Amino acid sequence: MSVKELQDITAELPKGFLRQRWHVYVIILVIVLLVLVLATSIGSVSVPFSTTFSILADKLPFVDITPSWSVNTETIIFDIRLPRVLMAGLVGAALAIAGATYQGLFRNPLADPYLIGVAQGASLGAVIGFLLPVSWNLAGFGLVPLLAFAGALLATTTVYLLARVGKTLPMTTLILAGVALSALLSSIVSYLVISSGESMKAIVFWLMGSFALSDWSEVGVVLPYVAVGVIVIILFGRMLNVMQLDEEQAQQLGVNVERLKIILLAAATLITAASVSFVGTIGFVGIIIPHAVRLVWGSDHRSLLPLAVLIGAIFMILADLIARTVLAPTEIPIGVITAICGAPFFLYLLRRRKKAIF
Amino acid sequence: MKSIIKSTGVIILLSIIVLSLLTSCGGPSETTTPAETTTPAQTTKPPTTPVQTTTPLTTAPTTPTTTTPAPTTIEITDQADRTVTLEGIPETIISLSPSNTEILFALGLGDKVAAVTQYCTYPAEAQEKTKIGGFSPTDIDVSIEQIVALDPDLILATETHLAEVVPKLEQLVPEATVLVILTQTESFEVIFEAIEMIGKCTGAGDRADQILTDMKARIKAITDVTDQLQESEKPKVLYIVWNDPIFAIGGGTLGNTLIEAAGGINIFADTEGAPMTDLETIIYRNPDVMLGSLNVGTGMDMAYQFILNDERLAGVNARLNNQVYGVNDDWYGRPGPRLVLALEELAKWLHPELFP
Repeated sequence: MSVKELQDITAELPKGFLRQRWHVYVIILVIVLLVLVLATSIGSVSVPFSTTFSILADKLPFVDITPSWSVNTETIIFDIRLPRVLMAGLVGAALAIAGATYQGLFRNPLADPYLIGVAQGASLGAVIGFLLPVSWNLAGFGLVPLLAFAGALLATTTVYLLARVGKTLPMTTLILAGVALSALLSSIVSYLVISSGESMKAIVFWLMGSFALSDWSEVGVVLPYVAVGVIVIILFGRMLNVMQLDEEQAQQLGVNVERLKIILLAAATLITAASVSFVGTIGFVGIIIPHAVRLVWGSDHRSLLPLAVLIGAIFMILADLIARTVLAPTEIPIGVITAICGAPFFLYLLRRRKKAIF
Repeated sequence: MKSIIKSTGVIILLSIIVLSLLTSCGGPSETTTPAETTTPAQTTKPPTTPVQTTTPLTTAPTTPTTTTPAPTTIEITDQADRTVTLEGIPETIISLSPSNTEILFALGLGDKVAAVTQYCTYPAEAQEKTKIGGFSPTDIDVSIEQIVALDPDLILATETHLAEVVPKLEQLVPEATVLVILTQTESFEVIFEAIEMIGKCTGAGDRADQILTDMKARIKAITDVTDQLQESEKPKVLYIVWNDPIFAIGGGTLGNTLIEAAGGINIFADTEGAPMTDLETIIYRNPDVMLGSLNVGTGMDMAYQFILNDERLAGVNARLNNQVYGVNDDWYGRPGPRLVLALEELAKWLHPELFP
C-alpha cells in the first residue's frame, strides 16, 4: 500500500468510520444480541422460547418472574447454554480481532492468531495436563487450562526472545522463529499423543476444540482478558493503518513502531492464549473473519478491528449452535463446523468481489 | 483444519520413527523356539478341578489342560468369515488385542503367549510379555517385523486389523494362522463364540467349555431376574468414559448390552458407539444411576470425578440419590471373560433389593 492509497483511505473517512457509519455498528450489535438469545433458546433439549426468555429476563435486575419452569430447565438455560454461548462469542471475537491484528502487524494475509506458537504451546501444556495422573482443581481452574495458558505464553515469549535483534523485532524473523518453534512443539505433542494410550481420543478432541463444558467460571476468567485485550487493540490498532507502509516510513510519520508492535503482539497473544486454554485450538476463525470484514467493509483498521470482534462473535456462536444441534444428542467438533461453513462463504465473498483485497 | 491435517501427518511420520526406534532397540524378546517342543497333544491330562464355582473368573489354572488329542490339521471359519487352517496345537501365540490376551490367559495359555499389545494390562503377567505395538486401525501401530521375528504359530487379530495388518501377516508370516476375533460387539453370543473358537484352536477346548458354562450360568442368574422387570422398574443409566468433551456409551456397544442385561435403560441407547454428547441432554434425560470411568488411559478418574462433583449435574436423580459409581472400563468394554464381573457389579447397583 502506497502513501497515496493510504491518504485516499483517510480522505474517504475523514472523521473516522465510527462517526460516519455508526448505523452499521448499531445494526450488527443488535444482531449479536439476537443471535445470543436465539442460540440460548435452541439446543438438543427443546425448551419453549417463552420459557427461555422468562428465565433470562428473571435474571435481570429489577425483573422478577414467578418460575413456571423446573430447576433442571433453569440449569440447562442459565448454567449450561448461556455461558456456552457467551464463551463462543468471546472466543470468536478474540480470535477474529487477534487474526486481524496479526495480519496487520505482519502485513501478511495468511497470518493467523496461531502463527507464533500460541496454539502449539497451549496444546503441549494441555496434553501434559491430560497425561499427568492427577485430577486437580485450583480455585475453579482445572489443570489442563492452566497448563495450556502457561504453555501458550511460554511458547510466544520464547519466540519473541529468539526473534529479537538488538532493540528491534524484525517481523520476518518473528514469523520464522514462530513457525520453527511451532513445528518443534507440535512434534512433541504428536509424540505424547501417540504414546498416550486410551486417552488419545479425548486429547485429539480437545485439540480440535469444544465449548461443551464452558461454564460461568470459565467465562469469568476469559472475559477480563478478552475485554482488556480488545480495548487495547482497538485503541492502538488505528496505528496499524500507518504500519501498512514500510516500517521506516511509519517511523518517519512519528509512530513508535517497536513499542506498537510489542503492545499489539502482547494483547493479541494474551486474548488468544486465554481463549485457546479453555476451548482448545479452534482453527479458521482468525483468518476468515478479518478477511470477510475487509471484503465487505474495507481494510481500514479503525473499522476492521471492532467489526471483526462483532462478526467473529456472531460466527462462532452460530457455528457452535450448529455443532451441538445438527446431530443432537451427538455433538460435532466445532473446528469441523467453522471450516465447513466458513470456507465456502469466504470463497463466495472472494469471488463476488473479484478484486485484490488486503 | 490445516493444522490438524498437518499434525496428522506429523503423527504418522513420528510414529514410524518412534516405532522403528522401539523395535530396533527393544530388549531381548522372550522368544521361545518352537519346533523342538513336544509333538502336539502327547500330554493327555484331564482337568483336575471343575470350575463351576462363583469365584471371579480372574484366576487362570496353572497348567494348560489338553484333553482331546488334537487333529493334525483343523479347518476353521473365523469371525470375519475367513476360512483358515491350523496344523497341530500352536505353541507360540501372539495377541493383537487386550481382549484376546485376557481370553488366552483365562484359558491357561499364558505360557504360550509370546507377545501382546501395549494396552494388554490384564492379567498382570501379560504386562511382562513382549510388546508388538498398540491397538489401532493402522498397521504402523503393529510391528510386523517383530511378529516375524517371534515366528508364531497362531496370531489372534481383530476386525480392526483386517484392512492392513492381516493381509501383511498372511504374506509375511505364511506359516502362522491368523484368526480374526470380533472386538466391536454388543453381543454376548459373539464373545462366547470367540472364547470357544480360541479354545478349539489352542487345544484348550475343555477349559473354554468350563469358562463358558460358568459365564452363562452367572449371566443367566441375573437376566432371569431382570427379564421379569417392567420398563418402569428399570433405572435410567448414564455411562461416560470421558468428560471433556463428554463421551457417553451409546447403543450397539458391550456397555449398552451390560446395562440392559443388568436391568437398566441406557439413556443414550438411541446413539451409536461412544458419541460426544452434551450436558443439557444428560440433565434432560435425568439418569437415575451415573457411571464414570475410573481408568481411561493413564489411570485417570476424571470422568468419575466429573459426574460426582460437577455442579450442573447436582439436580440429576443419580446425584440426589447418591447413585454415582466409578467403573473399571476394562470390565465393561473388553469382550472377554471379565464382562461377568461388570454385569454382577452393575446388577447390584441397579437393583440392590434383587441382588443383595
